[in-house]
Amino acid sequence: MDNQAVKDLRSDDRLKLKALYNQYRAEFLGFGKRYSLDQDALADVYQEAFLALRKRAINGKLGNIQSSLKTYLFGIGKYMIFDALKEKNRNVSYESNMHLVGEEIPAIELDSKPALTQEQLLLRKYFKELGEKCRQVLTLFYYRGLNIEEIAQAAGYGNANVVKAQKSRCLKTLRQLINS
Amino acid sequence: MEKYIQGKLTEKEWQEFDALLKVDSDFKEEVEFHNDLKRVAESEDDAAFKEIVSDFESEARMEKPTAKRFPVKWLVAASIALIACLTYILTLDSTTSTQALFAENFEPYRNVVHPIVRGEEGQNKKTNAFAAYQIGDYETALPLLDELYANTKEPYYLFYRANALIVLNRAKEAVPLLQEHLRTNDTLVKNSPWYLAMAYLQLDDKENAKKMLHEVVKNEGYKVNEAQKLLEALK
Repeated sequence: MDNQAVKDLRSDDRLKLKALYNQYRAEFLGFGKRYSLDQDALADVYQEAFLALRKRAINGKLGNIQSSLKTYLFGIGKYMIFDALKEKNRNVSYESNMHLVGEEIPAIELDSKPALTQEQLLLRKYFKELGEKCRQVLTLFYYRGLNIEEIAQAAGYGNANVVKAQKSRCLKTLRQLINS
Repeated sequence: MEKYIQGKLTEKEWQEFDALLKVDSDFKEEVEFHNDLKRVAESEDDAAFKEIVSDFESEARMEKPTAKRFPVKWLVAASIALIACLTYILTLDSTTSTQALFAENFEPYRNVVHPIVRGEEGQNKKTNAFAAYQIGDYETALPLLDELYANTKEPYYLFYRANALIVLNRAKEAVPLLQEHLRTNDTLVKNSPWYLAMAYLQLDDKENAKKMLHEVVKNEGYKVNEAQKLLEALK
């Protein structure tokens, strides 16, 4: 798999992400025509597939994939299409459309995420009240798993100490909000 | 704690961690807090990215009309270029050939009216005019010839003025003069049709050039053979 593309997926570079998005969009919409979904639904699927792809990139799950980015992305999309078709028509089996498929694109099943718990929903409410800098630092630390040095670099802070101070300030604020 | 979040606890540290978790409720709360925060940060990040991707989709749809397979702009540009090329090639052929024929055939008629004898230069206007004409200084000769014609009305001046004009690339002005000359009964009128043809060639006027060349042939005199050859070339 294209390493640069994976890197771009993990980045915050809007232009690069848009370029990737557009790169396969038209083809995917063409690919999806054979399944009886309308173009709007297909576009939705493409967006979902792209999101899922990005998530996998962030979680480091694309490292060992042999197939190309396109094949993988289309595989995700294919699975989602089947899911959508299944929703529409209970009798659709995964294999019923196989005869239409020219290329070897395996459908890739995704692990779905459980919904947020009550505590988490509450926490999210207060999290959203934090300033952008706070949300950025905490997201990079807790979700993206970067360490303090990496955050200093990625977010453009002068040095690690500044990041540490920012992080503890933000956490303090968050806790205060919860406890109030 | 940081290590736990990073997922970088060693085996031993994990054991310590688990033990503490069971015993210390505060610690447990702390761990849960961090887990929740992780989940929340992820959920928010996903939501934000979903927005971004949705924007991409909208932007992609907006751009659709212009993203044709074959942009019309290029087709228009290409066809204009093609037409320009063809026009150039087609006109190229005729202009170069008439110009080439002109260059091959034209020679200003020699001074037979007022031959200049050495030593005579500067005596009078007529001498000066023809002296200049003879040595090829048509720029000097022309105004003098004009004046001389105005004063004397001798028809041969029309002829020589026309010749000078053709040499100076002013064939357009030469044509009326030669036509006027043809109306006179100057001895040089038998030469004028040929020179008219030359003038028309310079002007890329193939039709009139051919007409005059037919005249030349009809007269069976001056430049008959050349006229016939030219008519062949102009077909």
